[in-house]
Amino acid sequence: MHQIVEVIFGGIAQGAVYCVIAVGLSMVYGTARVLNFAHGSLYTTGGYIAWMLTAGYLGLPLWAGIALLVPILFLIGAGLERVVVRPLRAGANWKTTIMMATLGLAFLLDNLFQVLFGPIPKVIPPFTDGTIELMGTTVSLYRVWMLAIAVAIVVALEVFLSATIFGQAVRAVAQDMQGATQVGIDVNQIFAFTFGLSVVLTGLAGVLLAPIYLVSPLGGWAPFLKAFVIVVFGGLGSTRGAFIAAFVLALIEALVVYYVGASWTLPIWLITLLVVLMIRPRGLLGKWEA
Amino acid sequence: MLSVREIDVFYGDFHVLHGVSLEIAKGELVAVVGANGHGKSTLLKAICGLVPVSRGDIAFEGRSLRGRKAAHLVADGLAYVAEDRRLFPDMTVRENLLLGAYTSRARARRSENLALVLDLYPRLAERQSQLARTLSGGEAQMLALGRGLMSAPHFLAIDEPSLGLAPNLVESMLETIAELNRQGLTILMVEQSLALMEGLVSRIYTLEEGVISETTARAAAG
Repeated sequence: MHQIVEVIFGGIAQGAVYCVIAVGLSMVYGTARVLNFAHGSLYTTGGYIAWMLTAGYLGLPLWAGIALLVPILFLIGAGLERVVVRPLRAGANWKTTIMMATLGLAFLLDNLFQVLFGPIPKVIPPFTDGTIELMGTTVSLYRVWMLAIAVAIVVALEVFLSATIFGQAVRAVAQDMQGATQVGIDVNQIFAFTFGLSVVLTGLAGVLLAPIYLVSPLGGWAPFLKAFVIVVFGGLGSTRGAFIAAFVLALIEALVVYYVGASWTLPIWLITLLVVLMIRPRGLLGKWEA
Repeated sequence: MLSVREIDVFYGDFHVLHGVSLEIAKGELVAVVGANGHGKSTLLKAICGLVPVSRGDIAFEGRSLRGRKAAHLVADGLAYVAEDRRLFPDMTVRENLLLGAYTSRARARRSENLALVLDLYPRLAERQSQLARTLSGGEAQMLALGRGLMSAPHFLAIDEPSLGLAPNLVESMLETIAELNRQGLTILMVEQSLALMEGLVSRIYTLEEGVISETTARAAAG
């Protein structure tokens, strides 16, 4: 009994972080209509840059490292949109072309990390190693913080999207691109902004999970796949759908790990996804046309 | 106020507009009529920067619009109301209207203009917190026009305001447009049927196969 509480709690904490990765992926798909295959490699990018700023080279305290990391990640994302995505948008079949370009970028980043940092994972130590009592069992304090931070990030994003004029512009672009242009929203500016924001989100998730999974050149693919399942499960482009899906899937993952074994996680996720898509082809809260 | 000089517009390989020119003076209500697929909507979209012009020039308030982004034209005072409304379906009526005042020029007069639009359309005032996707055709058209007005335009381009509306709604929609014009707004509107425009507009351009085939001056009503 005690162990299951621990497993479920661990699952929920991780699910919250996957949700942070997923909402970024979903937001970029929703506004720019781009499926970003480099999202996982950008998750890893966040981990490596944070490692370089703190434990690796500069030795900054973690909070200072994060304060520097956020603008760096934003510029990487916005720059990526400007340099790689936007020029391709003019061409025929741009959705496929851009998807392939982001896949190429993923390979480029993965290999770059391999060359720069080698195959041995880098460690970002957790900022706390305490434990607390939860329903008669002991859970790591870091996971509690991880859950709290991840939920705070997603809530902040939701508030930004609904309560600020710029956030509303992001939603407007997602709902009707021409309509957005008609009210004077510079659509390209919104694309660059959402790319920047999504890289911040996935990069921060990379840092949050680094104490648990470490930072390695190919470490972003598993979270990317999971984020992808979450996004499709929740409905492409729906932040709230992703939020619900992340927790449902995290719970399933925890139970699978406990009763069946960790290697069954992704197969069972995919089966769950298939069932959901059979009943609701656009995901839980999806409303996007292809 | 607006002059279109000899513009050519292509959709891919398809040559839609051939050397189209027209002039609209400040305070005028001008109409472009013509059958479907003859380039009326394309003409409005070209003026509002939504489709690229490959030859010729468009000048607004004495300034060439060449190379100016559509989003910036809104800040210049050019608003476009699309025939397919182009509302934000998962936002409320109020959110749609407030986003209409996105540019900083319009934002300064946001509450003032919101009051004007809600006064113009009490129906929208009643339905402020309803999602745009749940509106009827007539209400959606009101919202599309209302959102256009929220940008505090000097010039309004309206694409087939009668499309999909019941006859009695068409009449009141056109009456509203005429009233906006009487209050000083310069308007260019596109319609399929000439009959609807009788007595309302000061000039009618007829567009046939991408060419202006006829220009008729009318005595404006009122």
